[in-house]
Amino acid sequence: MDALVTSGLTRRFGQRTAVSDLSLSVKEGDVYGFLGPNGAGKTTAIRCILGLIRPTSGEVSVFGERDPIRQRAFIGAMVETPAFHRWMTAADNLARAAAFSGIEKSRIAPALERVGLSGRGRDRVGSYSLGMRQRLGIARALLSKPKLLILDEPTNGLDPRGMKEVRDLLATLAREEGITIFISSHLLAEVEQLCTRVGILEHGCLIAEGTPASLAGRQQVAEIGATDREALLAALEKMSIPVLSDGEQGRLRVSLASLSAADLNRHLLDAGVQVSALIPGGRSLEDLFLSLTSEELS
Amino acid sequence: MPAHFFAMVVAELRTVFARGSGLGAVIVSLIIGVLTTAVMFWVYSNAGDAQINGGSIDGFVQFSGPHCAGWALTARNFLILPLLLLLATGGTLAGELGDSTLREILVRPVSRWSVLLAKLAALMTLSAVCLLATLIPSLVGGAALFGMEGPTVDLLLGYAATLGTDLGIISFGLLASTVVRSVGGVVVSVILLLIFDGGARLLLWGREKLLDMMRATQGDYTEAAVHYSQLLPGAALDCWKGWTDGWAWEPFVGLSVLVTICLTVTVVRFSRMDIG
Repeated sequence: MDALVTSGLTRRFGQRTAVSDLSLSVKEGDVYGFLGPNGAGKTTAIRCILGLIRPTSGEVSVFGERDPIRQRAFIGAMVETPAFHRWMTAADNLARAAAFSGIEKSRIAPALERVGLSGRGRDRVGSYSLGMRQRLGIARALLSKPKLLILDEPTNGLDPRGMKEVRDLLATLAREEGITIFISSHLLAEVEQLCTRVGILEHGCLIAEGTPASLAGRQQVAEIGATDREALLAALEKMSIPVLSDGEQGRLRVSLASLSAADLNRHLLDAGVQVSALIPGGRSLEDLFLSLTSEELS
Repeated sequence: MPAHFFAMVVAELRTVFARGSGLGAVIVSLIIGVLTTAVMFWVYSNAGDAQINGGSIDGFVQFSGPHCAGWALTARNFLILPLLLLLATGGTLAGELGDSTLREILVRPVSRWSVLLAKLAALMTLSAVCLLATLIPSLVGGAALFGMEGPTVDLLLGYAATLGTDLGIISFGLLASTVVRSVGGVVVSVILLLIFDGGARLLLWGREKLLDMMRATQGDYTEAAVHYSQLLPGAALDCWKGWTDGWAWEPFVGLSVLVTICLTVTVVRFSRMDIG
């Protein structure tokens, strides 16, 4: 069954289109990574899905339900940096959320325990660090035992240990409780480790969708070294081959697009570039992301 | 209406009372009730010496439980409590829009209008608690010191009408919250409303004076100006004064119109609003 389906979801702000004809489907049990550079429209799309902003056109369906209020009974959500009444305790903040969800307060303690805050429930949120507030936000999202968890940048502000804890928690939720997770993140390695499916958003449009493995394997990359780095850069630019990142030992990591490594080598030699190294390699999700988004930008 | 609406109101009420403005309003109300009784007792104790315009103070001030509570009501409605209620209203909607805490509620399975209604119910409860915090010490204290002889029924109607006044203030505060989205902006909006009210009164007065001069008549036209000005928001929010000045229907009509317009526009704006 589809946990989340958007059909032609569009949102315009005046002349600017923040989300354009977004159609995606998330299957029950998926961990769906929603990627895109800053300003791509991820948060706007998530707000449309949650009914916080009205789409200009298009529809959202959650477990087959089209009524926005009933949809939210299935959803636990955390949008950007979670907001709290800072002068109230963590438990009181969760009690407030529970009251508006029509659920028992008895769920508060387990939710706090789940994110490692059971000893801090009586502390005011104002005394919490950013990472603790982030975890408290996840606890609040889990309070209603949702079937679909929508998280917008859930590891923002967390230290590496905190990131790992959140990643492990989400993996456990998906694996053991079968919760469908829709997660937007900038951290591509994290998404690659966690997600079963990925969608990449750019300028409000979904430009790629699939499993991380299928997307990463769609095109090849290579690391190229040359005696004259400037000449190499100029030749690559002339050939419209995007540079993804710096590789090791001064080499450049490039997307091969439809070229083979041999073709690239020949073209570079024709351009007068003395190639010192050419190492074809597998492509990470980060490479794909950088490649797709830089193509869009160019 | 969701089945858990009462729980929503209680949660909202806890938040309102946890805020400085909410708790402050209750404390100030209580202080006003106690302080008014103390001042009345001081005046009563020194009535023999005190004079106003060459006459004994007894001729101007009456001493009884209801009169004591009446002065407390006047003190309560003079600026500070309306301001604190307005701050509480601004905090509950504009403040939550500004700091995004409202977003965390609106991702829950509840309609926006039921959230708004829960906030209104909590704020009206705050108003009622504040009124009781003023009424009880002043009436009981005054009755213990001076007895209960006095216009009790009118006084209680005055307190009831103040609930209406508070509803007007809260409704306007909610509407302003959907427009300006900041607590300071809500307060400024009310100041602008009162400036508009004063300007409208001045225009009405000027128009009638002009007509009087042109037609060299007095009476009817000026009377009309009085009627019209009683329908304005400022007079509507003063409807509670009927307990001493005599009850008139116009301020209540003005109040009903003000509340209806403010709440209707608030619901429409809030239900269509983009939440950040």
